[in-house]
Amino acid sequence: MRLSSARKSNGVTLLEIMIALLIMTSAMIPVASLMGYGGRATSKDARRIVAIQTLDKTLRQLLNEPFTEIPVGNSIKKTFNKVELGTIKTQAGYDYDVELSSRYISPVTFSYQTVRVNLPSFKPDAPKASDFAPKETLSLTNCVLELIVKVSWKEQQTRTVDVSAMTYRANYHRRDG
Amino acid sequence: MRHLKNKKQGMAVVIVLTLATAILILGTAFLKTIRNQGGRNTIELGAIQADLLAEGITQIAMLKFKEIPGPLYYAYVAKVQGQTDEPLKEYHKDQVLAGEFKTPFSANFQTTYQLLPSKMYDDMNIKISVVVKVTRPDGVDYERNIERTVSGVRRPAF
Repeated sequence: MRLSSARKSNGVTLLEIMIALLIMTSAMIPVASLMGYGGRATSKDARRIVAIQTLDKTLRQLLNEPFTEIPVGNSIKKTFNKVELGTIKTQAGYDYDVELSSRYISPVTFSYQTVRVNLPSFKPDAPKASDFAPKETLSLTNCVLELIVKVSWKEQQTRTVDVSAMTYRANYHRRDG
Repeated sequence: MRHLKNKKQGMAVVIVLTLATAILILGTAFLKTIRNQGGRNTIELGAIQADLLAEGITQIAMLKFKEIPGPLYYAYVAKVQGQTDEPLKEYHKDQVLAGEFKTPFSANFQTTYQLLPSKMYDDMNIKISVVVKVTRPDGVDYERNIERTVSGVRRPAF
């Protein structure tokens, strides 16, 4: 009788173990789901990084293309020269849509003040305020292109996400015959 | 003695509750870290947007210099000689070289020309600096400064 009573009061009861297991399990379920969340977030980041790299590469190629060969228009998806547009499948297996929108900033205006070099008082090494003519502007048409590239992809097979950047391309050879 | 035994009963639940709380706190911290890192791994979009925009504005700045180099030369000399700085300010005023826009992203930019040792009508050397600041929708700023040195030599007409 004495032994039986001692066993009852000592150590951990089955009920305690069951309650402890229940609490531990309910704490571990969200932790386990967090692991999955971490994995998904890493994949999502990887897709975004590849998209940004594609965006950067496309615009840098556009900066090196001959000015006259860059197409003008909205949502251009046709590849030209070394610039890859349209649907691109990367080595990592992701699909991206790359589109270019380009337009002339026309006219582009540059302001300046010329110097009246024919004035008798004019000294080339120290031009005075009175040597400068009033403000003038130079207007150039079809010499500067605004280039916007958008890279879009699908997240969770339904939600479309995109990144975009812009730059300008100037025609330095407009006077070249 | 019995009192002490009663106290020991239920300790497993207390220990497990403490452990479970610690795991949940760690899990919450982990979740917060992942959320904050979203879109900021390795490559920053804002930095690339700023860099590409600065490259483009540099091209426009070089186009202006190629089209009208003389006014820059005299405006710079007039400023350095302490005569007037208005013509140089005028040369920097263009909206395509110093301005801002809101779409497709928010950015503002500033261009500066600096004349390096040059001789008008012989050779001209300039440094173009473009500073671009791109602001992300959450208010984080990215600044890029691009500098290009351009050397121009006068070509004989014949």
